[in-house]
Amino acid sequence: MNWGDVLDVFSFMAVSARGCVEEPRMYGPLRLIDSVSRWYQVLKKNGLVADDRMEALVELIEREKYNVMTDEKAFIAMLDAVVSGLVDLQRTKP
Amino acid sequence: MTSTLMDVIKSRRSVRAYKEDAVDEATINELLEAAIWAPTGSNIQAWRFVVVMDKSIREQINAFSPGMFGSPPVVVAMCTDRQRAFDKAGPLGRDELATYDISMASENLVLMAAAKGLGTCVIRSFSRPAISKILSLPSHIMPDLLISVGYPAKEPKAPKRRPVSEITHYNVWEESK
Repeated sequence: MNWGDVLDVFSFMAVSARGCVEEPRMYGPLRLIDSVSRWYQVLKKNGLVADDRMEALVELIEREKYNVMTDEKAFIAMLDAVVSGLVDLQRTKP
Repeated sequence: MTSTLMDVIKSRRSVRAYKEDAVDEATINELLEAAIWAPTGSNIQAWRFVVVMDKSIREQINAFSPGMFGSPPVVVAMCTDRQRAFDKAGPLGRDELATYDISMASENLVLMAAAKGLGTCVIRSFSRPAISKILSLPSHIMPDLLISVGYPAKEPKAPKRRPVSEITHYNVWEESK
């Protein structure tokens, strides 16, 4: 595992936590779901994970996350879809 | 075909995916030249710019800027000299005018960039203490905004705008609106 990649995500999450004190309410959900995507990408880059269904969920996050600024309903629908997808993954986890 | 000012204004998008192509320093200087012709309250001109092209520093900025997406080849820290603003215009200059000025300078910069086919994104979601430390800013220099600059990898769709008629009042405020 590349320590620099991990440090980037730690930094992102910590500064997001600080930012959420003052930032718009919906940026909290954005930063959390973005963290899921970032963690997956770091794990994938380091060869620690490869899962087509999770990959599809991360693609969904990346495609839809910017809706937070223009279409809140679509953004929340994406969050619901990711949660639903994760339930399916949990059912079949090793 | 000549672009009108309105064409440029309407074509500008907040770009969050960039090509790796570098942007040369002469082009960046043109953007900054546009920035310094923004209106400035009491002519304080308290703006200061830090242009970051170094990859390692850009990566550090990225790590502490949750609002920055993609890997822009250039980041411009739009800063204000709060001491200069105070010296020239007192607390109003330091606490308000400097902020308005850097916002207007930022708009000039992003419009000039759009006119040149460059993408930009104005960002406030970053840690001011972290950016100050990374850029070695003195305590009287405030990093107000970051602007990512680069050639767009994707052209975002235009978000809807509230129509002028819905938000404009002539002469007096009309409660019906």
